[in-house]
Amino acid sequence: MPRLKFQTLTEQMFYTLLCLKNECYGMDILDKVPAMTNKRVSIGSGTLYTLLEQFLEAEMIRETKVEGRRRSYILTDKGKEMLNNEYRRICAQALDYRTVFGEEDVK
Amino acid sequence: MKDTKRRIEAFSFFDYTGIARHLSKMAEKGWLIEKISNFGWVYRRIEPKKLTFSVCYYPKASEFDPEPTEEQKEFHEFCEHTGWVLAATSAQMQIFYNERENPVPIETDPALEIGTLHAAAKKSYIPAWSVLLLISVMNGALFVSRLLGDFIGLLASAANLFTGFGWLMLFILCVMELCGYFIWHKKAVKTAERGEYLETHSHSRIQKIIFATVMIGFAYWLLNIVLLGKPIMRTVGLLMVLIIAAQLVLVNGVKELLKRKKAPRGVTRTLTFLSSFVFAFAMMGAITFSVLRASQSGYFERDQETYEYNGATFTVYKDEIPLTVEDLINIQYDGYVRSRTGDESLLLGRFVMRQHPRFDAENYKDMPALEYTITEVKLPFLYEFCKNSLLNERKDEVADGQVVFAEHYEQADAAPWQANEAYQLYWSSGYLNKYLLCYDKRIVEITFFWEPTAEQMAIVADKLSE
Repeated sequence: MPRLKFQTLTEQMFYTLLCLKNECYGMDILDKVPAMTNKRVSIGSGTLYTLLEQFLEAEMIRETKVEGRRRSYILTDKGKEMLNNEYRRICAQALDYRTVFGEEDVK
Repeated sequence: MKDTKRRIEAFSFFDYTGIARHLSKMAEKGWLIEKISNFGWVYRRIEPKKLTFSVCYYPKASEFDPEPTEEQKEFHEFCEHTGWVLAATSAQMQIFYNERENPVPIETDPALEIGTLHAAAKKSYIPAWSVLLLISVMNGALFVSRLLGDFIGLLASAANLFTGFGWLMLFILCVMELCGYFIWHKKAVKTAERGEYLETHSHSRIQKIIFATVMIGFAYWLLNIVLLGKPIMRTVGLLMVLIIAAQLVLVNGVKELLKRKKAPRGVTRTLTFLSSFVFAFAMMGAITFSVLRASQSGYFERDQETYEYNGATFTVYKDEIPLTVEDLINIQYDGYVRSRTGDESLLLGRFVMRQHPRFDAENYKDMPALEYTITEVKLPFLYEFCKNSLLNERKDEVADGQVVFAEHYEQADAAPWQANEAYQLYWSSGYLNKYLLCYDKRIVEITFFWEPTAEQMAIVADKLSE
């Protein structure tokens, strides 16, 4: 079944929003995400460009500054709420795992 | 040694994996894509090396943009940040290459990638192919109906055969492109839901075959008008080819000029479309004017004269025809109208000859007349098709299993006609003096306005069998 837009966030969406807790140039996210995840997650430049456009349209982020072609963004309350929902969903998943396997099985 | 080369490439707009693979191979051979134009893809010579290519789509771009917009440049800078260098663009399609080993792909989310591609496709690719499909389906259907209904007429006219065939090929190409895209898109959306990518594919081989067959068709038409065309048709045909080629260059020139002058997208688009209409109408106008002028100055006139009868003007043609009423019957009358029309190609010729008296002749209705059509088959394998096509033109009208009106050819004695086969038309409730005669390379359909004698049949054989 197709996923409803932003009802759940992909890893790339999650980390993009996370990077925008503080004001940040869009392009810098390309470096921040691999650094934050120890290179486990990378975002393609085209994917990031599209995500930023869609987050703006959904009012999950807002534009704060335009310097030439460099634009910076920050998370809105709506974005923060969605990020928080995703965090709680991930936590619930982790809790369910522990319930099934027990604390000692977590490596 | 040339540092650039131009190639005609056959890729579908959405085949980003196929295009990227092809461009990587070209780079390994020492050719880097530099420009995509209406007249081919241009490559620049480089040191042969392994480059990773990525083809992605920017839906807001237009081929009428004088240069990339600020937003588009921002997108290019995003890509540049991860080592992707812009190599060429074509409307929404953006082609990048990367020299790094295992670079982070430009698109890392299949669902987003398909959404972007689909938005770009909806902007120009789907509408353009849909318009072509609409035009080609009408002309292609007309060609097929003529092929089924007037097989001989179509083969006798190289121009009609070539243009009809071209439309049919375009129709096949449109169906292939549009169906190919929608089928791929549907599957790719499902695959993306699992977080996976679906390979794209072009029908490159089929596209190349279609292109080659259309070129063969064009060469066939050209050969026909050079070898068999009347001087006026040869001139008009060659002029049309030159004018159409000039029109393509001019319209493209207008677009490129406006882009160089940094005209806004809307202005370039409007003026480019307007110029194509103006050039098309100017071309048609010039041809019509030339034909009219040529006609007025008597270029098309045959050996002919006119006469008035009952307030109307009639033309008397004096064309040369291979068999005349005078060859068959001893008659003294100078006022016969003799006309010869028809088409001829390298495949076959079809000529219609008529001889009838002038309407103002005394005893007009009692005077003998003659009509016949010669189908000259130049390729033996077409003979049976032509014969069956002519026989099948006459068919009984049948309702509820009963013949309600009879009209068919029945086998007749071929010996008096010195033919291989002979047929006589059975119409309503009796035989008409209309015959279908099969000679070695010719099929003659002849109508007498009297019952022919054995001697007259022999004369027909002598005059028309070869």
